Amino acid sequence: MANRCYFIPPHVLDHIAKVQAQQSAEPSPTQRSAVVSAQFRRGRRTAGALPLALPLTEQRLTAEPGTVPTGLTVPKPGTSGRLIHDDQNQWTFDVQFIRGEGDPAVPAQNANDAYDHLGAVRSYYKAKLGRDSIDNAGLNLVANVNFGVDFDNAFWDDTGLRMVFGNGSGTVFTDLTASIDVCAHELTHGVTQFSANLNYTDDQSGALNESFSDMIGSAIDAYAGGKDAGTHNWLIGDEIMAPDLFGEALRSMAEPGTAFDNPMMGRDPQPRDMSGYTEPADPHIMSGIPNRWFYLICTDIGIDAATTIMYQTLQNLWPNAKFADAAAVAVAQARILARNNLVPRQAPQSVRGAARQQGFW
Amino acid sequence: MRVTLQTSGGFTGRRLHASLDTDDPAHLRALAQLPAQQLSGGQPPADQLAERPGSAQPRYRLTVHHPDGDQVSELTESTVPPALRPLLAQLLRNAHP
Ligand SMILES: [Zn+2]
Repeated sequence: MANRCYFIPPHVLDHIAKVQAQQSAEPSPTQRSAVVSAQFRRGRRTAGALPLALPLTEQRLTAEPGTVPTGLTVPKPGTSGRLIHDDQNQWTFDVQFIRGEGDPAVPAQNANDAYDHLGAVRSYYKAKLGRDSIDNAGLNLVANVNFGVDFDNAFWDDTGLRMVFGNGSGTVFTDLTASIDVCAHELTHGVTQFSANLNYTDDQSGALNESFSDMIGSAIDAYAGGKDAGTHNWLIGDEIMAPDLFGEALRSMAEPGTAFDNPMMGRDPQPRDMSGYTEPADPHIMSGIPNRWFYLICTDIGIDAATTIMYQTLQNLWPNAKFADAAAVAVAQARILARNNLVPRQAPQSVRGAARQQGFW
Repeated sequence: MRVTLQTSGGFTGRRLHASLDTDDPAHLRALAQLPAQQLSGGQPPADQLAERPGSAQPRYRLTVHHPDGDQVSELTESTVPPALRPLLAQLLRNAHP
């Protein structure tokens, strides 16, 4: 710690950001500075041990395909356009550009699914939340399908700014492009990176980072399926389970800890509320606590209103925020939104009541 | 030489474990080139935990069990060296909750 110096100490920026988050619906310059400062700190931490992250302007250029087959469309930078790459079961990115924005469907179903889901998630963010892509400045949406061999996962590549999908092993998961909640979850990690930039650490900040992806991912899944809070199943990953695991899921937002219990996957370790909280713990374990907070709010004021509040909360949080910080900011945002008739009038009480039920208010 | 793997991260966030005894020269060469973050058993100390890079990518924690201590390396998916892929694939095939 001794060899670091900052223009403004990070804890001072964080404190100013916290105060301003209670007062404004939009991120303040100080909040943005806190995020940029955190990104800078993170870049310095990893120097030497891992490849240095490129400046954002250069990262955008890396999303441009190296070779463009005749007839395919490369969207202009900053137009929220889609680029789908086939990694041809190699462990490298952007192997073959196969479909750009507006291009016709290709023979591979998973490439078309990725294209369609990205489009639906982009539309949701624009129409419901007023956000223009991941960075709110039209960052093009890059997806890689067929990554690796039997790769049983999907992820947001925070240095290359792309979403990456495996084919699944076929024994635990099927192709991870098959469900919109995967795509919405991963894209939301990108949104988090460009807003609160919550630390992905084994504490409450990491759990919140995971949870915001589950919250907004689940809301988009419900919207795409025409479900409301009462009819949505509140399961994450249920549509990508392999046939032998039909009926299981990765996470349950309504009842954390009940998503799976089988020899292949073990038993769902998520606690339902703060009575089961421990630290350090993987972000995927403790995310169930704020996940259920969101579920409870949805059942009270509806998914649209709850998602708007959480989205505004994400814009106003800071990298080392804890659950109680998220609750305080969410209440402040709920009051602002209610005053403008954008969410029901009882939204602040609903947010507080659900947080108290989960044990962090 | 004994190698153990713990996975986490990505969409699934599954924490899987696997171990393997290997004398394959290609495996040993790949392991020797990994950045060692720790030489001892157990969890990283708290200050090291706080210094971990913030990434929701799949994460692989590899422990090489040397007679004089454990060498722990933590990699995210996009930083896995190509030379390590065969060993990682073999470990992942045998991984369990
Ligand atoms: Zn995630």
